[in-house]
Amino acid sequence: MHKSMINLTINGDEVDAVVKDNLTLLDFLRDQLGLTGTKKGCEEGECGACTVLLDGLPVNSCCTLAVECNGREVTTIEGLARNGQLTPLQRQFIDKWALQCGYCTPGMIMSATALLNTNHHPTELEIREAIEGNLCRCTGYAKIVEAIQAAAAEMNWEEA
Amino acid sequence: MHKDCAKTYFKKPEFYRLTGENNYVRIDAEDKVTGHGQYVGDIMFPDMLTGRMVRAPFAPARILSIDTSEAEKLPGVKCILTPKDFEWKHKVGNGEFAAEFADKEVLCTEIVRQVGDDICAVAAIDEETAQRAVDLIKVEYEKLPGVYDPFEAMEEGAPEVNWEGKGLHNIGMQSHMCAGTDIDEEFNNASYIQHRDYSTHRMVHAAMEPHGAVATYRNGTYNIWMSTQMAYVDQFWYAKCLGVPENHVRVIKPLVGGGFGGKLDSYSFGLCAAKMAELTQRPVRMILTREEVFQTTRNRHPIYMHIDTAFAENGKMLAKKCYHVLDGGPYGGSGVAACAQATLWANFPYKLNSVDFLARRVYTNNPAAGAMRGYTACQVHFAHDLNMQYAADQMGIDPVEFRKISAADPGYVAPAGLHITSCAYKETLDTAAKEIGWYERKDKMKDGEGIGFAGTGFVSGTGFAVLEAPNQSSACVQVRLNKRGMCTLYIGSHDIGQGSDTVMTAIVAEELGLPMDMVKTFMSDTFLTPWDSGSYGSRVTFLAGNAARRAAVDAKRQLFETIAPIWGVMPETLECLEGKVISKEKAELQMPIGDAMFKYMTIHGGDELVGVGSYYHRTDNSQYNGENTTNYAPAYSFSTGAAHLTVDKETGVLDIDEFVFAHDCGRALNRRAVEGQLEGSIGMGLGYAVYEHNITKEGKILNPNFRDYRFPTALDMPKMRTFYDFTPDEEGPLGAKEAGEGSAAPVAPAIANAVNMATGVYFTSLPLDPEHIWRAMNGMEDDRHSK
Amino acid sequence: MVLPQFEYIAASSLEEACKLLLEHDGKAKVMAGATDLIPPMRDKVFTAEYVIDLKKIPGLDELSYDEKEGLKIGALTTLRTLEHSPLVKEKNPAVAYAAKVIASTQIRAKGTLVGNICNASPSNDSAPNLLAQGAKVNVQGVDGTRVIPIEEFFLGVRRTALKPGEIVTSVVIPPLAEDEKAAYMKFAVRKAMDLAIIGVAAKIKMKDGVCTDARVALGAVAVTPILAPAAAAELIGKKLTDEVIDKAAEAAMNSCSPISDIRASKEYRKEMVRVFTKRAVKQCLEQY
Repeated sequence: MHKSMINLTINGDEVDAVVKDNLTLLDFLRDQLGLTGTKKGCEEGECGACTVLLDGLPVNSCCTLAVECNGREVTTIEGLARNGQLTPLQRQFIDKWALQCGYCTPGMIMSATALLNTNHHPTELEIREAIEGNLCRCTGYAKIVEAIQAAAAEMNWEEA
Repeated sequence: MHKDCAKTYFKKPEFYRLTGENNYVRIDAEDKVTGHGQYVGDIMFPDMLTGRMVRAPFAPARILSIDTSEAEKLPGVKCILTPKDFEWKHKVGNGEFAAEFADKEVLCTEIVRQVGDDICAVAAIDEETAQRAVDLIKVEYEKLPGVYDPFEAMEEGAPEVNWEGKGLHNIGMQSHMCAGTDIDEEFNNASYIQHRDYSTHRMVHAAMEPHGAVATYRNGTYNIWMSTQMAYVDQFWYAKCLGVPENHVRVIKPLVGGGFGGKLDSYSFGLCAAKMAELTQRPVRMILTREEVFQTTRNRHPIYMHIDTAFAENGKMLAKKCYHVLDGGPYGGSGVAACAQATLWANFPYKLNSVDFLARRVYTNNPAAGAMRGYTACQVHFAHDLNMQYAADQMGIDPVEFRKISAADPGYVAPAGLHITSCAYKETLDTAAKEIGWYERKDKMKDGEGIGFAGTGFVSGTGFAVLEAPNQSSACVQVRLNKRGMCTLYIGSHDIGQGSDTVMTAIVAEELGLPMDMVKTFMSDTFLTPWDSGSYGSRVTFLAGNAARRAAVDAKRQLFETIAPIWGVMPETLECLEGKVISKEKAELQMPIGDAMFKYMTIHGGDELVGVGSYYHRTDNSQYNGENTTNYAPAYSFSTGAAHLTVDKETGVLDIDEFVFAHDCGRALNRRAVEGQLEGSIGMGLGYAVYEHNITKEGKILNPNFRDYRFPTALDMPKMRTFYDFTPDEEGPLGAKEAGEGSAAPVAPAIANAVNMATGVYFTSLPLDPEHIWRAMNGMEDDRHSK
Repeated sequence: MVLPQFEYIAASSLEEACKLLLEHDGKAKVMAGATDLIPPMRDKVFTAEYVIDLKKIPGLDELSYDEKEGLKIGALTTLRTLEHSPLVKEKNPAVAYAAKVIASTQIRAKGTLVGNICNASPSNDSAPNLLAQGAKVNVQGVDGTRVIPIEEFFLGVRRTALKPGEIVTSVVIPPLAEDEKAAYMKFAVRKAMDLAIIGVAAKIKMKDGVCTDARVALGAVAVTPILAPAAAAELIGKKLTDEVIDKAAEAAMNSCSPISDIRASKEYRKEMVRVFTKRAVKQCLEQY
């Protein structure tokens, strides 16, 4: 059994851990750290429920080794709200009813967060492309797209 | 409380605030956007073990031996279950009245009937150890001849799948619905008759959350957190199979990440988790892998449908005969009811003088089929609507007009015993036709362009309670009011993502005139909440919603009967509005609900106030045993889907420009919730029509993953517009009918009819993937996935 | 499902990585993005006792363009970088497009073009462009470096010309001259997260309305991505009328013999090769 010592930043906090080399980032977050907001849907990189930000970019945590993240920065759904304040995206997902069963929601919000971090004026196509790797079985995506558009508009309004 | 007594105190629409202004959000939304919400896989206990199933690699087969010795030696393995642990107990089934149909062993004692059948279970200190233990368990099999085609399975001499010599060969369930005028005479007098054949393919629910269970065993009680749509039915079967009374089995539904019918069966993995929790005295978590979900849970029945239809000269449909053969796989469970339902839908949404519908659910060695969003309505409406379109074209009548000629109306009573109450089917047709631009476009269609319609009907609140229940009541609700005017709501109904917990809360808040956050809702826990038979048959909004309304009204009545004498008015003249009890007649008479409750408790010796409500729709079991002529539901919903698309004739690829959906759901209790259901239905319907196909070979699913089982991504969805403002239903809770299940049915046939128009080919099977369309346009047989 | 056990080694230099790879030949896998390593390991398509991560090796994430050499794509350059790079979009839009149509946003944030070709899946979207444009694969071994022409790189399903201890350090795609245009067409059922039923890349050179050079490459029609020289031959020396393009497309179709599988039948794949060869050539022409 091969194990490694890793040091990484998770939601702004420095974390030291010993991990098995074959442990995925997803299982590390869920089972070792109890951060169960990141969901397990397929374990094959095909559903996006496990999306987290790795150094700011959206990745499938099921296709990432925990040990691979040594020295890097990971943001999960639990890391978005600060001081009890939801992000505009989280609020818009609530307001627009952009979720039903909610199982894809954390991953969906992480992908959308990554988009809005770099593109404050996304077109509808750009939004759909940003969430192309996040499957949703309930909503038909329409309300999700609408919530992301509304969050972008809100952020632009805040900038202005 | 009796129906009529409740009605006296029902709030009138002019006093609706919440559902009128539609400004409330889901009660679980914040938990879901922050990642704090707990699904079954998120539940953690100290000392928890991980469970895994040992599954059959092929089927059918006879188990010759099971050797667990190597696995037992592996450090960290805490428990191994073999078929011996369950062999003396009950099999798993569906309805209590039909317990004799229970046909699935918890662990296979001798015969393996489908790939992935449950053989053994393991609990170990972690997932890795459990997996290794599974690999170390040696099972010796003798392969047996299998049968994978339902028609072959029905032949005498075909291998017996799971049939114990009852009835016709390998037929697990048969349903014959025959009613109305003399059908031969109707056909003899018809001016146009057609005979058509259709078939549909295997699809899966593919809820984003895999199935799973977490179990503990404490104080002689099994506590099972289950990703389920029917906790009370699980409790029933689990008690039977664990050999204990139901008071030893507590099933709790945490957040469920989608169900769509796939979580309606009481699966073995949950039972094994419970048993292993007992034997190890430690919590056990068992979550299925995605591949297991595909191969070993349920799927949508493939159905082969033959339809004979008789029409009058003016296009009116007179009579219909059909024969539906369902590929059930080797087990009944939630699939048993599918057989009767497959005859029911053929009645909708058209008036008929005479029907003769026969459905057979056949045992095969394919993966077991069960309930899936629409409960065979998607398959049956696909065939029967394409059948209508074909007739319209043959008779040279505009397809919208043609559908309207026979369309069901309010008050129509079908020969099969169905009483239609509110019905806006014709309005949905008109809306869809107008919005898709049918009348402007129909004469200017380009080559490869098509517009297709499909009309469907569905039950709203199926009466069937699965388990025996007094008065067939299948939804019970309790509300409790305290001295601060806070309401605690106990509901048994199952929110699996559709938002029913929110809607129940809103209904109660509406009746009690309270803001949403004054109503605290507890749900789906068989020891805590009242009986509810589950989320299926589009019963939650209608049945549980009415039960919730009655419970709230029962509480309100008791409060009014206490306050009215103090004010010297009649209790019926009071109402709860904006946090207050008010007199509808004297404006000066008003009191905060908290104060009113304080008075109530003072007068009643300190008692808090409890209101109870239930709702039932009386049907009978004749739908499953016998004549099958009964009124299935208290109301029915109707829909029209319309697709506008172009076909790339070189590749067979569809470009769906727009999908318009008009759905008669009575009064929408929350507009965004309804839209979300309709949009989700279009997504799933589009998947069924074009993208999704479980390809099997000798019962093994060849694409048990999201790479090759491709349901639509955000980029694949067409532009959608939904319309649902039709007449409120008199009996529905605050006027509502179902909005999430029947709505799945018209999508595939609307797309198929549009493809027919675009290509000039009458398709008769699904899915319409590009190669299927390309082959049909080139006159080639589609034998790609023949068994 | 937990992954089978292995030892993870983050190599700090190419030399170290090559040495480790040679030492554990047959038992070690090289990892860059890991997106095409973890799922097959989970599915037991292959196993590895050692996983050698290249990500700590400096300099492998190069993306540069040289007027003579062309576009150089390092082993750690992600598909996301290629997809978004203004440089790639300007100098070789077909390469940017082929990167964008792979899998999903999340996969592309980690996955690399070099990893995509080293996995040598017949349907990989990166290879057809590289074949059509005559790319070179730079390889480092224990004994030094060598260059493998892309035409010689793929040997079979998941098999490449890399020798024990060899690692691809970069891929270089020659520059497209003013009169040269390239295109890649992916045909799949879904618009994202799908594998190609077939893929076609084309590169043409036009002088005075006549095609003076052409290459056509096909994906998902054989055990490796392949060139279709017969199709190119139909184009070279001719004015590219619809008839000429149709003949080339026909030739492309006839030059491959794909298999039937759950995604598509042999005959459909062949026909789609014809359709998309035509469309790829036309898309090249539209760029003039």
